[in-house]
Amino acid sequence: MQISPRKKRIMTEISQLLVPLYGRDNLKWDPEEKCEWIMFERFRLPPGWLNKRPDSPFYNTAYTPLLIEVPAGYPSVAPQNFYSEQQLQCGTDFINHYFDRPGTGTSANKYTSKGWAWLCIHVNAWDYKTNVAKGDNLLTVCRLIFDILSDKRNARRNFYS
Amino acid sequence: MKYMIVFPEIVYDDCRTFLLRDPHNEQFGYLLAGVNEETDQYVKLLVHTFLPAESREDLEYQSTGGICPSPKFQMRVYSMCKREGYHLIDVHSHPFDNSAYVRFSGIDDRYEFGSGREGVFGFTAMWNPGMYHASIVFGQNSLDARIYRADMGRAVPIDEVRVFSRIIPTGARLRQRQTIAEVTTPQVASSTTAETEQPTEEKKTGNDDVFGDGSSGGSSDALNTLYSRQILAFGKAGQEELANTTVAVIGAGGLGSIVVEILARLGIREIICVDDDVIEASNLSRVLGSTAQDVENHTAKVHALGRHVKTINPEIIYTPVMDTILNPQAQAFLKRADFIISGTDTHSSRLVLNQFAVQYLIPYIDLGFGMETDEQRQWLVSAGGKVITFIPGSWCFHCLGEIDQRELQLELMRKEDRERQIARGYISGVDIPNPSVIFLNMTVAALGICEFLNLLAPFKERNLYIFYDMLATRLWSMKAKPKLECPVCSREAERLGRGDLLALEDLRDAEARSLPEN
Repeated sequence: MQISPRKKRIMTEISQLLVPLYGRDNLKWDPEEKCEWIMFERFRLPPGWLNKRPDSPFYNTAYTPLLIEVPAGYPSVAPQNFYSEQQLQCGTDFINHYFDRPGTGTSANKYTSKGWAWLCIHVNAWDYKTNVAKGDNLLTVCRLIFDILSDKRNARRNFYS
Repeated sequence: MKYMIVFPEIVYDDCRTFLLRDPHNEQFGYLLAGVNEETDQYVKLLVHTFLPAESREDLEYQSTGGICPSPKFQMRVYSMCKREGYHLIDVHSHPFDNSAYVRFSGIDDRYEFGSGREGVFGFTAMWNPGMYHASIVFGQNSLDARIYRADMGRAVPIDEVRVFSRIIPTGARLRQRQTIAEVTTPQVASSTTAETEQPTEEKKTGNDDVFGDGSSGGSSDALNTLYSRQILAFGKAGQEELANTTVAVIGAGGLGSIVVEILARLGIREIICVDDDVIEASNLSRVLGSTAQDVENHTAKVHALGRHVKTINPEIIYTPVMDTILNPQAQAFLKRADFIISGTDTHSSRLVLNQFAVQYLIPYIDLGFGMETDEQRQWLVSAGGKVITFIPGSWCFHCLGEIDQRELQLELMRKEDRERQIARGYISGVDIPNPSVIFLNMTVAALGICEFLNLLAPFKERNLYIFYDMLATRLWSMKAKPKLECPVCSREAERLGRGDLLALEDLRDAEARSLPEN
């Protein structure tokens, strides 16, 4: 039986890093061998954000489901595609780099029909280590998403959005 | 069936130094190995870890004439092999043996095959049936090795022990041939062959069938005629090495086609060429062997090149693989290669090949070039190339920072994501072709082949990290160091020498991802 280093790594990160912080019941992942995605059923949003989707169990709360696509080359390649609930609201402002309609061209989001909004966030710096707890991993990605949504300056150094 | 044991240099040196540290007492240890095997063709045990019997608790007894590991040490290692899927090699020394023909003793035979009770070979075959169990005995100047065949109920000799590209003949093979011949590198000659009976001399004077298996790829006269000039340069042993070597060349374009042609002219035994592209009009100025007819026919580059090399060297075994190296099925063709040379100059192929080379302990040479013009595209502002030689067990491309994260993301991005990013202005210039000229490609390819040949039949100091500045007509090399806890090549990363135990990476563009609904 061959071991997939990628899948072994993802499973280790889930069990050692994500489950302790987000809870086992809160997490779902692709059961297939390719393990293409990880989903948080309930991801806490930073202050100022509200979930305004009427049919969501998180309506009028600061929570959203979050979907992270895990690239084929992970962990050598950083995750690049992130999706949240549609109709999130941050104050009364228009939210840049948040696409919750099908759109075309620059804002195309083919997963709208599946209920997802595309968070246009790009990881530019990525330094993973042998020890999953050190360096970059799925947990640091979650933290960076949170920081970007919080619009922290530090996060902007690692992302452009 | 051919049996081989492949060592990273550092593990071999650690092992040998430990085993021969005391001239009065035998020493013992275990080597943990992965495997690279092809049914009915070869089994290569890929050594990745040395576990010496260092403490008293590890040994049942130890003397000048014998040594035996303790049952506790044995079971600890056997259990580890069963749990992790490793294969096992028992190693011990005969420090009193200064001959060129060290051999297993009667005590060794009784320990391994049993006498009145089960030997260790029989026991492990029963307890962990999937595990290969081999053993090596080190003398001061030679070694011997054998592997247990449970189906035959006996051991068979190991044909070859390889330390990177250096082949160390086993005692059994030497006795069989009544000849001594050894291929060494100047850097390590003192550790293995300095006191050996005349191997270097024999190498120089030549021996038509160095390995005694008739695999040298042609008669002596034919070799002398065809390759007489280069034999004068690097010796008949070097030519023999070429005639026994398989090289995988990744990319059949501007760089790869030149590499393949040079290898064919040098007299290499087998080339495996991987490329998924077809010949286009713009290739004719750089891709050797391509014709205008190939452009019309959309001939695959690997096939055009195959046709070309067969006209140069009809004896060559050429295996075309028209596929991307990002596909694990294409990567699997590389398993039987002795060397990998890549001319693709992409970060994604570098990522795949770096991991593959670490996993299968295959040396890998990466060739790259670049030309840059001013904004008006009128003048060249920079032009040059790079040749990086990776020897598993030292540093790797990840240690060097030669795999760029942003470039990697762009190369591996799905088509829809790429279009989206281009439309948003995050990516620019990706579809603008880079300048390229045949003479720069030839220079870089020739530098790479020179290093390859030097690894195979050493004639100079190794330069593993070479830079060429075409505009300044300058060539220089740098030293590199491994990155602490490198996630690819360090021992902690658990990839080194794991071979078939680990699945090969599939980095192809997954167009249709099945994401869940919200």
